[in-house]
Amino acid sequence: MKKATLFLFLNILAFSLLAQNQKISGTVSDATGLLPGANILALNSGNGAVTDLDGNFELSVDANDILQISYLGYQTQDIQVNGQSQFDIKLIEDSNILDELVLIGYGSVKKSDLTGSVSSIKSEDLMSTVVSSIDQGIQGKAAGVVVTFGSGQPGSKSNIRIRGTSSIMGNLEPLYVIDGVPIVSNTSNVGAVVGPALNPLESINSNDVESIEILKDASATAIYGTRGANGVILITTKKGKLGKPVINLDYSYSIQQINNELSMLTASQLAELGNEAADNAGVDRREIYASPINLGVGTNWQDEIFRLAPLHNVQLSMRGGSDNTKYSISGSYLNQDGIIIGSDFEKGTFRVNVDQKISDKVKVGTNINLNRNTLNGVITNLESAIPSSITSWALEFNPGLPVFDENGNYTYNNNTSNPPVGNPVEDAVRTDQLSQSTRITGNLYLEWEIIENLKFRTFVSGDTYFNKEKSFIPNDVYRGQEKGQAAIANSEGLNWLFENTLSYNNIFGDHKIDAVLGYSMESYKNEFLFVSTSDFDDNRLGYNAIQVGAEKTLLFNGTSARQLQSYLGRVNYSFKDKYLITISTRIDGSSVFGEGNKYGVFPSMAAAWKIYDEPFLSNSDVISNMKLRFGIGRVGNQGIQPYGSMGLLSVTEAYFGENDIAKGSGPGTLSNADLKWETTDQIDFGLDMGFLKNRISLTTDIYFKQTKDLLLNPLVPYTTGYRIGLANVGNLENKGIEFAISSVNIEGKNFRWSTDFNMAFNKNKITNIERGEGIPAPPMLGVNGWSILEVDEPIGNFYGYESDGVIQLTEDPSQVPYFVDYSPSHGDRKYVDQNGDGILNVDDTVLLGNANPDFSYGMGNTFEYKNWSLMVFLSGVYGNEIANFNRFGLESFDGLKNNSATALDRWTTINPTNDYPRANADPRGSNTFSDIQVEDGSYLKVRDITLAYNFNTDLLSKMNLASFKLYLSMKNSFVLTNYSGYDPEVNRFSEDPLMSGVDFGSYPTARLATFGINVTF
Amino acid sequence: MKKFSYLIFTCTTILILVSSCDFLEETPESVINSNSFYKTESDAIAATNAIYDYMTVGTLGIFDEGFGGIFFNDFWVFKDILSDNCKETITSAEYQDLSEFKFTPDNIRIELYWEDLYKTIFSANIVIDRVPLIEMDELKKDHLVSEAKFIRALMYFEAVRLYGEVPLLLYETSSIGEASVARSDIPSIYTAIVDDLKYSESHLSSSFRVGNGRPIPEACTALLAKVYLEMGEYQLSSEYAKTVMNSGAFFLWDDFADIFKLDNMNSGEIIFAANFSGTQSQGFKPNQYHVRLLPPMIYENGRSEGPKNAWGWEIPTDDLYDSFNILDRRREATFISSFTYSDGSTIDFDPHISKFWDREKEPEGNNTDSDVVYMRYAEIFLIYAEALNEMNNGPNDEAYGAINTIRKRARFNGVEEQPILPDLSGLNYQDFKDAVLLERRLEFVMEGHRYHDLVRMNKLVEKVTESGKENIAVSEKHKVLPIPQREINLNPKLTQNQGY
Repeated sequence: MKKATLFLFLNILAFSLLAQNQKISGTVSDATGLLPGANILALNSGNGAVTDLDGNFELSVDANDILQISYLGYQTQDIQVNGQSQFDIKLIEDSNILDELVLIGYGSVKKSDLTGSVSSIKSEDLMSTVVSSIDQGIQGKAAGVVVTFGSGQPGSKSNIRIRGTSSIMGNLEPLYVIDGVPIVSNTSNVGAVVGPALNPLESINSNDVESIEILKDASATAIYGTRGANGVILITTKKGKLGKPVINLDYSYSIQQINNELSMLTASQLAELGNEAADNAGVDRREIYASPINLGVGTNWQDEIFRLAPLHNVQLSMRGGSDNTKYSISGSYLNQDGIIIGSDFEKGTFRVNVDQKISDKVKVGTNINLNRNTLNGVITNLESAIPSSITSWALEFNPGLPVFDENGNYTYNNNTSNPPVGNPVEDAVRTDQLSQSTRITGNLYLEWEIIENLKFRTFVSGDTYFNKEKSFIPNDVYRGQEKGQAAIANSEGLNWLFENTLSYNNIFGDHKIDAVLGYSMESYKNEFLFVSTSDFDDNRLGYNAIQVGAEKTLLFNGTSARQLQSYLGRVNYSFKDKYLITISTRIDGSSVFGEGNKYGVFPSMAAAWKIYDEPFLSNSDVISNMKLRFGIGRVGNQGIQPYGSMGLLSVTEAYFGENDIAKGSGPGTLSNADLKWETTDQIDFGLDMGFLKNRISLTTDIYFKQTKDLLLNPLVPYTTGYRIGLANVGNLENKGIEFAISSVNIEGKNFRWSTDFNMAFNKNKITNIERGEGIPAPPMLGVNGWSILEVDEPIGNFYGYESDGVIQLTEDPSQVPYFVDYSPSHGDRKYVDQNGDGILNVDDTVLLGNANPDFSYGMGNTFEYKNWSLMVFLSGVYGNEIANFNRFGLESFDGLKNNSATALDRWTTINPTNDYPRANADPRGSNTFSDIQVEDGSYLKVRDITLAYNFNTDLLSKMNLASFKLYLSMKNSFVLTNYSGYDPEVNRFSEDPLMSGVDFGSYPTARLATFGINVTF
Repeated sequence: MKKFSYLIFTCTTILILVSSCDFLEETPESVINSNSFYKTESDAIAATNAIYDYMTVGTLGIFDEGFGGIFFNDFWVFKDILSDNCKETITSAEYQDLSEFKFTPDNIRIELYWEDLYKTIFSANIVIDRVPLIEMDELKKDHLVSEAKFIRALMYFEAVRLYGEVPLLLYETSSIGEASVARSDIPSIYTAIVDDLKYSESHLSSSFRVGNGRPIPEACTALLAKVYLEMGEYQLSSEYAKTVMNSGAFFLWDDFADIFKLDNMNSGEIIFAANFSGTQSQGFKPNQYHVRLLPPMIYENGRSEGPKNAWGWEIPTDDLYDSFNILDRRREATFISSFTYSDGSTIDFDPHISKFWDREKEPEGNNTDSDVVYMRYAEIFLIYAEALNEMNNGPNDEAYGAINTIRKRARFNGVEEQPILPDLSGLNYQDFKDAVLLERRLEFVMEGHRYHDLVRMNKLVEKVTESGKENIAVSEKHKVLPIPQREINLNPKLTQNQGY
């Protein structure tokens, strides 16, 4: 046997040495002329070339080699060499994208051979809505993929949900795999800075991305086992291509602006409101409101904090390659000011991708990405019982105060507001909130074709980050509470992966087999440190010398680690290229699982039938493709915190006498040796159709996803010594339907119009949470139970009172059902006493809405006319509600803070409206959560309009340029919505399913106007 | 080709080597896994120290509704608002309902008290089970177990008096099923309490970890006297009380007003106090004496003087205030009804309880270093008097002697004895019993006694009804609290008390 193998090797070796003996040359052209940049690959010898600027190529081949000529957008052609030496090859344009390769994790398949549900986004589609990170490009591009941003602060993190929310306490985000490296995406702030965490996807340059594949159904994601439940996003970066170095330079300059400002009261209007509120509450009028008319318009604090903000983005790349070496190097620099003063974001990346052929059988390669991000933030999204955000403060701050007093100092106390807030301009400018991240991601692979059709690949990768947070509040800024405070936090982590796969593919007559078998080990460890001090006498050194603070306030550090060990396998089998079957299994062992449950098995099966290839359809004029898909599989979610299954001890502190601090270790968490992954079973039916030679293509999928063993913290009897114990107890389900349609509407000589449209419906339902009364969201502004997870209900329900107009003069207020601690008067808002018991209490709350849209959609239109192209991309959601907690402050009508201009329409004896209550300085009952705060969140956004002009190649070739493009674009330029806040695309606590769909003092998203220039040498 | 074969071989070997070590083993580095703990003397001490934290403040976050152990506030708040002594001004229904006897099994305070009792018991059980297995000095080992047993006894004594029959867990449970047991009968619970206290009494060391909030042998003796009295074992109760008196371990201050001075914490009259420190905990873990009891008006008067962050949530009923002789030193030391600012101006207000406030040491009251007194020596005299009266169906000379010692001190105003509260004599059984009840009321305002005294002497409904407290709905069922509904929901073996 050994001898035979050796013989085979020698034969192959001899053959390859002997065969490489002929030089050929030629041209490649299309209907309009010669094509530069077309790829020519000799299949036997493996040599390749790229046509030059004039469409010429030269290549060494075997005498009986086969040339494969490919070019994006054209049909690939195979031509026998047959001793010929001159070739003039004409490529035919291809609207058939079915032969594109699609990555599926540990391999790739032709799009036409896909059995699972996978959405592909190509670089050019992605970039249309990207400002700096690729997740910005995904929204609306793939059916069933919903992206939300908890904050519009540049550099902040997104949240992506694929086919609904599949967990409550586990991971909610999909797994990101960049060039085979699963990246750590759940990094969060240690806490020195408050507000949104840095987006881990900012670590790569979006221009480096070649394509994104989104694996949605279980048959596609089961190969990722315990990390597949939320879908998998595979990101492939651009590799070098055969041919001369191609250098590309792109520079763009953008101006960003707030979409809309909210209409607020002027200083004199607020004073009038304040006086009326005081009178109605029977308290003294405030001195500052003594003469409303003299106050005039006052300061528009929104104008003071928002600004026109520039953004510079430079990209430079060089790609090329010879027969044996292909390389791609690129760098980028982005400098973005935020639309709120005092906030900005800076990002630099550097990437090298190299692939080297060592011999005919062995290939090695590496990808290395370096990144440095600096996010300079302002206070938004601070968790607190009161609105603690620059944006909330700017809305509430007294317009009667100037930014600076007569001495040029910031005005300090806001004597209207209770609790008082500081000057928002001063806070934005003078406090520091800095996050810095340095990240190195790299991998190394070796691929060895052991024998023909059998490949071994070993892959090592590392993803390491160093994050730093720094904050400082000077002692004379309001939030410094006369002491000032500083905090520094570090966190760093390393994720390494060692993966070995064997892949085999072959064709035996009608049978085609493509199989992969693998083993992988992965380990992640992170550590963090936090220190803070307060009581600063001197503000000058800030966070650079926190020891200036006299009082050490907090100090902690920690570390955690997790490991994953996996075995995986997949077989793709097709018969007559018509009947396809995929079977895959992954066995994942994870350190975070309990002792009794270390390994989980995640199998899947999928089948597809290419109906179009059956004789009865293949002659159809209308239908040009038809494929039926079915997939079923099981995936997991290992979103358990490390050591979650263990009984951990808490550090305790008691005191013996006045001086003896007795540190101790007492019971902290209840151990659960049976703790395991959450399991999601999913069934998917799909249909792919093509019409009119695939000028129109349609993909539709119906899925049903059932998640069991949800990780929850159910209550346990106190006699255990604990209140809760982490356990696998809940169930939920998601079901939905998705459509994606692509069509070339007009294809003329000079004009082309194509449309991509997608739409997805998802329904979510909790089927079991093993806890009688549901899981309430944490209170917001003192409102309890505004959102509750309940059995047979979807995640994200809002509950509250149903408003019923205002108590009018014709009514007797004492007869109006009300809360026990408040006697209403004329002009107070009424609520429906649902159970008719004469008082308002929690029994009268009703379902007010849900944060999940009924459906989401996106539509891109591309118009090309000669050298011009115009891209218009729209996306939106429909049928969701937003809990707008800003309205408690904006419509308090208490005169204690500035209010929305709706206060002008408040109830008075001469304006007996039913829309708005009276002014009232008595705050009781004012935090009633009702349908007033729950608003329709549906929107349609024009995300991108890009107009580009490509200069003529004739002209360019004289200047030695391959291409030259100018473009203008507008992003987020227009929103159609009924929502009253800054932006309906808001999700303040997007990382927490208990608190979906909240707007509360977030950093608003910006609109951008961009001018850019793109040159290729 | 050979080169690569080697490479592959090496890779595979590394792979096998690495994966054969316990790759998936979890070894936390910055938190402690209970499985790897309880191995050394310092582990034993750390585990024992933890019990005190659960008993006083606990490990829940400061914004958690369950923040604070039993001594943080509810131990002393419950006993006086569930009586004729105090009423609630806090607006939240949970305390109002307790004060007005309208609570249900869903009352969150009743539930959280149960939580704190069982968390403390659980942490004590860990010490009692695990420390004996640690190789260390036997005396120290016995001492730590004795500390745990003392506290466990104290917790079960609270539990049995408040809830009646309760689950009796005397070992460390490790699963939900194991901890979901039925209620034990009252005699079994008292047997366990007595066993624990007797063990502690004879095993507590006099040289290792003495006092300062930790039990000493005499504290066990004293608590046994109290437990036996509650059990109706009057002979034993009087004997144990006598032993405490003869031990010389404690003394009575001449002046009632000295008892709660910060300088006198953990000494003199204090038999056992849960230690707190506002200073050492940097304001995170002081008890709530001053926050809840002191009057808000002094500071709120715009003067920035007097107790800060005081709310006056529990205030005395008129019935309590009026039951003091106007010259009784205890009235002056227990209540505050006016305040003189530094500029000489004064403010008057309704009486508030200020007995725990050392005005000189902590003029702001807030963030106090004061300890919560569980038992002090004066109680031994009153236990002794009560037990003797019960034993002999009437007071004897010793019983009179005991109660009159307490009355004598109350006559002393810091300078001289006042012509009030004459020594008692010539009382029959019932009159003496009533006298003891009254004396206990005057002596122990807000010290965690009144509810138990009224229940023990079967006067709860009568006294609360007579007190003139408003809106009350007291009835015989209130001699015990309901078992928290949450616990019944989670442990089907539990039954509810009669009437709830």
